[in-house]
Amino acid sequence: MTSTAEAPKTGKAVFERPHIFVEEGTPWCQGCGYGAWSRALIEEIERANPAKLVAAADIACLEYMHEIIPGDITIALHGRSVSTVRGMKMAQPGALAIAFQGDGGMLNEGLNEVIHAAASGQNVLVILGNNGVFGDTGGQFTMGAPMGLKTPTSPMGRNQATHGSPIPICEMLAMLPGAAFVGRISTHDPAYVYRGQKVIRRAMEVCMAGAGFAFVECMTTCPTGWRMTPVEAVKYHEEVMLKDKPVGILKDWDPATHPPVEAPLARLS
Amino acid sequence: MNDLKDTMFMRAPEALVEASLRAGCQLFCAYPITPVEDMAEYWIKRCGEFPGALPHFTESELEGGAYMYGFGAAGGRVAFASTGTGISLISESLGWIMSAEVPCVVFNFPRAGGLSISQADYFQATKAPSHGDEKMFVLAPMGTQEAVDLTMEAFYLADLYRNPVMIMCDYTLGLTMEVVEFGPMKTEGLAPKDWALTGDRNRPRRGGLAQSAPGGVTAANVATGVDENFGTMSRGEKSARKRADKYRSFPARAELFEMEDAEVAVVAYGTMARMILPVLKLLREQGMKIGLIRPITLFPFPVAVINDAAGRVQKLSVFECNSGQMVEDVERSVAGRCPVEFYGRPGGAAPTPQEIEAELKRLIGKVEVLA
Repeated sequence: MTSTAEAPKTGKAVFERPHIFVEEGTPWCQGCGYGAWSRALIEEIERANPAKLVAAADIACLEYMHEIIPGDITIALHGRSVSTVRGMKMAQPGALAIAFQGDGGMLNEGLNEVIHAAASGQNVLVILGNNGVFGDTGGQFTMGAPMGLKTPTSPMGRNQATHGSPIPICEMLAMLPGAAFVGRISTHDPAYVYRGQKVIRRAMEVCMAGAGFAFVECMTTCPTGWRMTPVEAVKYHEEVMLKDKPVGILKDWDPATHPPVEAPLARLS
Repeated sequence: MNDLKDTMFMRAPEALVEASLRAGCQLFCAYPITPVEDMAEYWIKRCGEFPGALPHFTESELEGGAYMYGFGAAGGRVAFASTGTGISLISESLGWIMSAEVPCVVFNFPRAGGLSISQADYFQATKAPSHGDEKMFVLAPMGTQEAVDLTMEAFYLADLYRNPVMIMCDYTLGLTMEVVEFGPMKTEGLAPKDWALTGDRNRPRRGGLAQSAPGGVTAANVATGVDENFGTMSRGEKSARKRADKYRSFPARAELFEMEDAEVAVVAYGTMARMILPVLKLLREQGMKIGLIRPITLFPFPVAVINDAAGRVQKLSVFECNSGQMVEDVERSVAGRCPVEFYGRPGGAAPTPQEIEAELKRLIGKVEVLA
């Protein structure tokens, strides 16, 4: 844990970490985007204030969610957290259920599970942290990697002939009637984080209303896995990762055409 | 809630689902593979009459394994059914489930390559249901009534020991139709599941990061620096030793037939034991002193029962529908106290009564080897 010098007490606090953060700070590498969106998510949990919260996170970078999530969480097997959280939600129907998966876990190992979950329309919130690489194991490319990304397993850059193309999971899931909400955010600069937090807020409102399956893809940098400095990573992210990837709400919940699948979730008073 | 009588003439797979419902099972993960599709259909047909039972049809076996983990961890009663191939598919999840000490019940109907009897998945069930050092309790019924009774008990044992329990059937039992009687659900001595991840945010914070193994169920309402004082032992070793103690504390069971004065004893489980019994009775009437030991728990294996018998008989023979798996457990149980022979029928074959009779007579020395 890094220590920080205490700021001089000048009066009113204008910026604090979320009160329900159960650890100080976030556990990811410097320059990683996961800290930004997970903070936004925790703040939105604090705002939504569900009475019950169950979650599952894949083994890999996102397993460290257990240090910060203000609810009950299991570390699921790689690729299995969407199904695991669906199981938890079936046993605890009144709980807000959140699955955290990286792009390796979702787009490589557990692709069928997220598609089945969206098709089912079950009221769970699925968060994809997409940085294009298996960050936890040193930066091998995933099915979410942009074309041309050079990694130890695609040393000449990802290309169609050898590695196939990235999977546009948001667009695929938005096609399914069961998906109530699909959004994509990026965390590479504060303006995007601010806009992204609003997308997460809406996704959480949708789930709290009992609407059904909600999905948010968080596009982030991975300077460690990409072997770049954080500044280079942000530039690459803007120019390559976000190319052809619209950010914002791709499919919003419309109660008129998509009736809720369950009663609104209870909140802590 | 229940319009079916307590005594019914039923097919075994359906009877096991009925028993699961009566034992309070709320989620039944069954993916179509013969004879498990009948279980899925029966579950969907009947679950509406049991409050809390969900009409969910599992999309795939991999997801079934994950549902079982999540549903069990969140405090629900859950079961999974398949043949050996499906058990292979959920093997990864089973490792996680055992390490996190999540209770659940697994039904297994091992088959040979095609649709025929097999005991070829004995090792898979008892030795290595998954990666890691963990085990699950394996109960092997001989007929439908026993399978029903063990199923009712399995949900209880799973909760009591916080561990998966497997009902090890076989394909022949999967096609059997018999009269069965359903007993009451057992709950004595079960503590409330205060470890369950209910998600309740009003609950006081827990004092442990992982309740079980690394990667197991974690209560995330955690405070920091909560390690108990484990002395020189790591958290991982401590929890692994606790689980090993749990496996040892589970009482092994076996049934003995005509063992009081037996000179030769046969060891067999499941349908194989059931095929042997009428032949054995016939030979007993002819004065041949043959007995049968039928392990009911395959894990833990009834080592003491077999070791004791080995001290009193001239030889033991293990009958299995495979190339020799349980015979290794019998040999280690006998520990050299008497000779151990093996009669195996692998590849989906089953012995005829005449073949069993010939082999038993050969064992007792009445007839020399048949060609």
